[in-house]
Amino acid sequence: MKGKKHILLFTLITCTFFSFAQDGKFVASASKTKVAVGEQFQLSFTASGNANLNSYKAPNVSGLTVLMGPSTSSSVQIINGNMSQQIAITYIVVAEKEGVCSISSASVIINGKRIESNPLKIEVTKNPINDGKQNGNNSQSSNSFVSTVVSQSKIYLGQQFTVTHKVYSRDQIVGFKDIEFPNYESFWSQVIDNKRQNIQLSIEVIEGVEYYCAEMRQAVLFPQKTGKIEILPVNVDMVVKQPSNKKPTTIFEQFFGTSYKEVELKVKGKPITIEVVTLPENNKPLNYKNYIGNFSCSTKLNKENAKTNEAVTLSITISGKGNLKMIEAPEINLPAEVEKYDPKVNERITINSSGMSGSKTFEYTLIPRASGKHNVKIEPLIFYDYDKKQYITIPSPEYELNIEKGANDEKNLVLSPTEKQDITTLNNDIRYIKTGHLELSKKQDLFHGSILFYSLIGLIVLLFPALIVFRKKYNLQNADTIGNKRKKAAAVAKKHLKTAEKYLTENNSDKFYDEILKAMYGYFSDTYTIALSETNKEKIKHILSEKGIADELSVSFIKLLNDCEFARYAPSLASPKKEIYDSAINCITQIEELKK
Amino acid sequence: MRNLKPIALLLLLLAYNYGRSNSEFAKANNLYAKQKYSEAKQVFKKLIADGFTHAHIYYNLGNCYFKTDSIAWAILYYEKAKKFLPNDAEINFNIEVSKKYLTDKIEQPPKPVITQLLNSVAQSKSTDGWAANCIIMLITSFMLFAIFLLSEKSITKRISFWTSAISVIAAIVSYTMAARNYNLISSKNEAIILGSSVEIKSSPEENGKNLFIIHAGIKGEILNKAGDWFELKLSDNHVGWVQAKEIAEI
Repeated sequence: MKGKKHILLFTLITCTFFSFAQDGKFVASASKTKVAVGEQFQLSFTASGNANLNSYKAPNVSGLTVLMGPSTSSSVQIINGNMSQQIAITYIVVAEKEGVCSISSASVIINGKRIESNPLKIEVTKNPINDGKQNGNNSQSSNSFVSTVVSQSKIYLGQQFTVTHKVYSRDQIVGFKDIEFPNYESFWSQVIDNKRQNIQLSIEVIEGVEYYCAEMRQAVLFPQKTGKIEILPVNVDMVVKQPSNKKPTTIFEQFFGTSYKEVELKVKGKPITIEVVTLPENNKPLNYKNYIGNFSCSTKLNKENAKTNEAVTLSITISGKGNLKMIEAPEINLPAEVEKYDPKVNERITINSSGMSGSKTFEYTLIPRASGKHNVKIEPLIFYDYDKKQYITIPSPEYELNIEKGANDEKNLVLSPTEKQDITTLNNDIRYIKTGHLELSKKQDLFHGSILFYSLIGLIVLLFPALIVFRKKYNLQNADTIGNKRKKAAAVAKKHLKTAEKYLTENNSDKFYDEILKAMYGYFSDTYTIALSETNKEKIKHILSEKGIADELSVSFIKLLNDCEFARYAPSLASPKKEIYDSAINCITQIEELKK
Repeated sequence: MRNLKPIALLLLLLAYNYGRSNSEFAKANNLYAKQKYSEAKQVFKKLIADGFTHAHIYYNLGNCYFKTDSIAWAILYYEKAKKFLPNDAEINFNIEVSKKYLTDKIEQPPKPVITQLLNSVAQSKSTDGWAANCIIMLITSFMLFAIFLLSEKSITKRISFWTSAISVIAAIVSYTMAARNYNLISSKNEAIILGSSVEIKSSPEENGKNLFIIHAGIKGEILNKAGDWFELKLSDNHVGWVQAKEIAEI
């Protein structure tokens, strides 16, 4: 163990206490609180501040015999121009009898005020107490221990707190051989710099007992996960100076009193547990980024009017207390015409026992590429203030850049107007829904395949043969009218002849011949189914000869027609004649007979 | 007048139902616009459950499923919508977008040109459009035939005869198109895989050999049914049996 390298070595001047506070203080302490009868121990009254020793009023030390003292020692310290003074009044006493021995307050005037010290109680036992001086290692825990002190034991995720590791020893700490610092798992840690190199030694009084105290390390921690998290203590391998029990062997030792030996001690502490809880969910802003502390934000745009391609600087400064190191550059929202470069980050962060504080500056360089007015929006700063227990949003102002066309714009133009870009697909999203009114119909309402549909088709298909049947019947009927006409031809002719007979008696020659002609032509056209308009003498002659009717009859028929027509065109010359009438009747009856 | 009362009531009821369903549709669209996709989905589904079938309802429902990250369901409803509007650009676009999110990549071989052409013609009109067309063509044909039979002039007869014959052919074509359209819309010969990872087996039984595994969103043609099992043919000609609960018919 001795071969082990000494990491740090310190020497202390005994009884020179320094700087607890600048205010007046008067503290009583004993080197032991448990003593055996007849054992010597030290009582000290330490005044810090400008104490007037003449005003010192000794305490009542009943049950104790003062072997030596009061002896005074004083120290003056000047730190940064502040002077602090300490005066210690020491007694070497011995307990006389068993029991609790109380030491009443002493008092002294410090800075014009009388200040009383704390009373002390000393327990006096019959047997000498095994206080560990003989067999050091076994009971070292009572004489020396490690403490881990946190500023808060219940904390929010990401909230900063400090942890202090201290080593206490009743014996004077000479040096450290090996210090094993914990590595703060589940925390983001930052060791407070000015305490990294120097281990500060001081004397602290705990429950009336003086301890040599070494502050090993102080660190600022930011919990990174929730739940109960253990913080491991430091493990220290240190060297202390213990008075040896040996009788002074040399004259040198005899001369200087008690001899000391250096003892190596291993001190281990217990881990402490802190509870990390999540931040309250209610009112949690959407874009909250786990910044905890108390911050302020200021933004500055170095110029609002600029020319194209001229750099503009936008600086955003976030200052305050909290996890500053975790603060990322706030997003800024810019139109595409303004180019943005990654921000330059300037940190001025100090870490001390009160935590992390300082400021962080982000400097964006913006280069407008097109003239016009461009809006610059800065993401607001959102943090959780654990003092006020609420989320705070600090909005940032919106800037408007007024960009004019630069003089040498043509040369430096980055986006030339001829340069065309493809539309870049940013996201693959579906098209929007179809809106508007619908002609909604239910499935069963379909016309196709319905009874109506098929019956309509059937009906129409059936109509075709029906139409054909209808047409045939119509044709037949038409054919019948021809037959009727043939049948009725003689009768019709007879009718006309009867009218002609009437005109004969009335001697109306014009109408008489007219009726005879009507009778003759009508009869002929009806009998041989020839249109009345197409009937003429030539056709009559032709048809009659075709039908094999005697030329005699044909001649008389034509002659009759000729006579009638002649009489009609010259009515004055003709008179109704009985022979004509008879000849007409004769012709018709002869043809009628031939028909049968 | 007494006879008209029930008819008037029926008409009113129909008008009410029509108006209500239309307002439901608008309500669902509003919910969608407010990004309340799950609620919009419920309303669209209710409309379909009520018997309203419209490509737009299916399409919008597909969008709701897409927005709630159910890609396979989205594809199912897009495909349903596509049956009504096969050439709709938005439906086809959304199907293509959705397919990008699928695990399996299966190339869709194009259908034969004739089938494609016939289908696109058949789906250029609705089923009822074709049916109505068929009836109109038949009536036209009949009227022309009547003209043919009754007219005396030979030129009129000739023209009316041939136009009547053409109309009859048109009526027959319309009928087949109506039938084809109806088949395309109502036949369920395709299915979408809905199970996230589905084993395709060689036979319709639980302990059949696993042929391959496909993931949600794949479309297959239904070849056969046997109890709770469907025989599916994928577009890359893989064939196998799958349980009915893993798929949904389009």
